[in-house]
Amino acid sequence: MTTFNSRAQPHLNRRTFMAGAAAGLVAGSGSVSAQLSGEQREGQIRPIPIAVPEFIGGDPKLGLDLANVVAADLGNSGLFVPIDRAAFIDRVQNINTPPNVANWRTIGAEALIVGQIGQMPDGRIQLEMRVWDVVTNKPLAGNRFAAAAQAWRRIAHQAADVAYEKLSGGGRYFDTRIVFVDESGPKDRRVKRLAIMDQDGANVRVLSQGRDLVLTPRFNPVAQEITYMQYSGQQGRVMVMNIDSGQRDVVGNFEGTTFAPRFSPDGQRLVMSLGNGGDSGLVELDLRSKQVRNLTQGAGINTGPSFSPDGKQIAFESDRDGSQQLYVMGAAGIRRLSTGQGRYSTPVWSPRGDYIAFTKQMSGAFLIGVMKPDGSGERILTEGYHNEGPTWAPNGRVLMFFRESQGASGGPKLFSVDITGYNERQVPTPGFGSDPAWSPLLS
Amino acid sequence: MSFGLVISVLLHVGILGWALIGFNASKPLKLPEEIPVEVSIISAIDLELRQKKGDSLSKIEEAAQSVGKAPSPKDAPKPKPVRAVEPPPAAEPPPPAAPPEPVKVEPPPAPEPPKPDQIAALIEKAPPPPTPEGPTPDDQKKLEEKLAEQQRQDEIKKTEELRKAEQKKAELKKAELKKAELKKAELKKAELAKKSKSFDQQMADLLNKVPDQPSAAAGADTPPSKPTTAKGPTAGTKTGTDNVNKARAEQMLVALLNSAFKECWSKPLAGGGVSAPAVKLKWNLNPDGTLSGEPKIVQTDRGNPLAEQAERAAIRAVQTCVPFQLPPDQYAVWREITWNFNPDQAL
Repeated sequence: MTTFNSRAQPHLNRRTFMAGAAAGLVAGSGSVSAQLSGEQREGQIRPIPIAVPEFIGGDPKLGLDLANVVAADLGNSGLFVPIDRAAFIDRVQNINTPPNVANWRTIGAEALIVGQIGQMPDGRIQLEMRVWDVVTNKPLAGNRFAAAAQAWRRIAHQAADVAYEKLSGGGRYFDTRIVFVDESGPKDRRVKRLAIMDQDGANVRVLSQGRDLVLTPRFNPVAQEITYMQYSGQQGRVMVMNIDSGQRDVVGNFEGTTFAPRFSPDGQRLVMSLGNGGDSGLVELDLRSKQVRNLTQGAGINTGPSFSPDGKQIAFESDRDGSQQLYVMGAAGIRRLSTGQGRYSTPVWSPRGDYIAFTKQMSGAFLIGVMKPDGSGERILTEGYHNEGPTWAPNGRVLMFFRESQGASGGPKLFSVDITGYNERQVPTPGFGSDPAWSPLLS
Repeated sequence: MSFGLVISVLLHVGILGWALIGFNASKPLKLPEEIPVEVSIISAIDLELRQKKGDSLSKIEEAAQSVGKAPSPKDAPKPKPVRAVEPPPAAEPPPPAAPPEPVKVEPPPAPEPPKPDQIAALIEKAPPPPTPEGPTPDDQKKLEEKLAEQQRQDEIKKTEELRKAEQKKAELKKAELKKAELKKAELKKAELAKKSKSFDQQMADLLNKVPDQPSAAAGADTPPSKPTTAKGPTAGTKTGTDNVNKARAEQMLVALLNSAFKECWSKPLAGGGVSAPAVKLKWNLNPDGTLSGEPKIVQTDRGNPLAEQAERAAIRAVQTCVPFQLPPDQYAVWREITWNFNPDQAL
C-alpha cells in the first residue's frame, strides 16, 4: 500500500491540498525546490544472496570445509542464500584488503564473507573472518576464532553466528547442539536412544544404549546438562545427565509417577508433573536442597510446565475448564492463555520471553504454533499430519520439532522453522528422530 | 492538426444532420398526391350511383366535402404535416382566410351551407333533375372527362405550387440551418481556440512532465491574463501553476518507485518476531537515474535492535534499484527523493 508522507514535504502538502483535504497551503509553495517523497511498505521476504569463497591460507581442504559449514549454516537459516562459487568472478587474495565490490555485486551478492585460516603456536587452528556489505561497501565484522583441529566445525559455526548476527540482526544459534531421541527398528519394536548432535546434524553421538525407554529430553538453559524421562518397565523416573561427563542421576523419589520435567531458567530447579491416580499436579524440585513444592492443587490434569525466562511465571496445560488448554501461573494466580479451537499442549516459553510455542490438536492434526504470553497473536507455523515437541533455539527465533509420517514405514523426523513460518527445513538425523531439545550456546 | 480534424468532424456532422432534417421535411410532399385520388372517387360515376340510390344532394355534397377536405380529427393527429399539405383537395384554390385546421374541418352533423367546392359546383351546373331519364351516356362521359381533365390540371398546378412553396420553405430552412451551423461552428471554433492553449499545455505537461509551467490554472478554461485578485488560499500559484497535472505526475512517479522498491527492498526480518523500525532515506539522482552521492539516513530508531539492519536494507534497496527508470523529462521532480521504508508489522 502506498501512502504519502505528509511530514514537512511542501509538494505533498500541496497534493493533499489538491485532494481537498487541506486548506492551509500558501500560494508561494510552488517556488520550493522539487522533492519527491513516498513510503514503502511492500518489499520482498527473501533470503539475502551472500558469497562465501573458500577461506584462504593453510590447508585448502580445511579452508573449503570451513567456508562450506559457514555457508550451510547461513543458508539453513532461510535468511540467506549462498551463491554458487562457480559464478564467482573474483578471488580473495587478502582478507584485509577491501574487496572489489563491483565484482561481487555483479554476481548478485549483497554480502561477502571471507576468511583466512592459520595455526596457533599451541597447535590449535585459527580462523580470521571478515563480513562485508557489498552493496554499501562497508565492513560489518572482523573476528578471530580458535579451536582444536578436531573441533574445526565449531569455529565455522561461530563465524556463521557472527555473520548472521551482523547481517540479520537475529541472535546467534549455530554453535549449539541438539539432544534428541534416536529411533531405529520396526515400528512396533522401536529402539529409542538418547543422542546428541550439532544443530546442523553433524557429529552425532549416542547418549544411552536403548535398554530403557527414554523420552522428553530437555536442556538446562545455562549448562550442557539435560533432564529426561527414563522408563524401566512400568516405572518412570526423572533423570538428569551431564552431557560432557555422561554422569546421570535419578531426581527425587516421589510416591507416584513423575513426568514432563523441565529446568528453571537458572538451571537450579526442575518443574514436572506428579501423577496421582487419574490426576496430575505440578511440582517444583530444588536440585540442591531436593525440596519439593506443589504448584497446583485439586483434581484434574496439570502438566507440561515451562518457565518464563525471568522465572516468575510458568506456562502449563490443564483440563481444568473441561478441555486441554494452556494456562499461565504467576504471582497474580492462574490465567488461561489459549482461547482458540482445538486442544493445546506442551507450552514452551521462548528464551527471549516474547512467545510461547505449543502443540495444537485440531481436526485430527497436530500443529506447531506460537502465541504471545498474553495469549494473543496465535500463529500456526507448521502443517502436516503430526507435529509435536517444539524446542527453542537460544535466539528465540527458530524452533525445532518432530514430524511423524504416516504408514508402516513412516516415522518421526526433525524439522526446524523460524517464527515467520517461512523457513522450514528438515534436520538430518541418522535414522528416525523425535523429541529434540536445543542446547544453549556452547560459547 | 487536431483542431482541423475537430472542425471537419463538426461540419460533416452538421451536413449529415441537415440532410436528415431535409428528408423529413420533404416527406409531406407526397400527401397531396393521395388526396386527389380520393377525390376522384367522388366522381360523376359515384355521383350518378348515389343519385340513382336516391341520396339527397345535400348528403352527397356533404360527403364530397368531407372527402375533399380529407383530414378529419382522427386522420390528422399531427397538425404539422397537414399544415404542410395545406391545400384543399378540390380544384378550387383554398380560401386564404380559412386554413384547413383539423379542428375547424370537423364535419358538422347538421347540413350547413357548403363551402365553394368544385365538385359541388359542377354538380349544381350539371343537369341534375332526378328524373328517370337522367343524363345520357355521352353526357356522362363528357362530364367525366371534363372533370377529370380539370382535376388533373388543378392537380398539376397545385402540386407545382406546393413544390415551389416547399422548395422555398426548404431553402429558407436550409439557409437557416446553415446559418445556425456556421454560428455554432464559429462558436466552437472560438471555444476551441480559447481552450487549445490550455489543452496543448496540459498535454505537454503530461508528456513532458514539466511542472509549474505558467500556462493555465487548474480547472480554469482560460489562461489567466493577470494575477488573481482573490484572497485566501488558492489552488496553485498566482501565475497559474498546473497543480493537478503536477500531482498526477508525482503520483505516477511515486507508483513507479513503489513498484521498483517492491522488488529491490528485502524486508529486514531477523527470523521474525521483531518489528524492524521504519527508516527514511534521502538521496539525489543524476538525470540518467544513477545515484548522485550516497543515500542519507533522515530518520531511524536506533533504540530498535534491528535499526542497523533496517538501515542497511533500505540503503541496499536504493543501491540495488539504481539506475532508476524514471521519465527523464520529469527530472526536476525526481532529482531529490525522500523515501520512508516501513517494514510495518513483523511476522
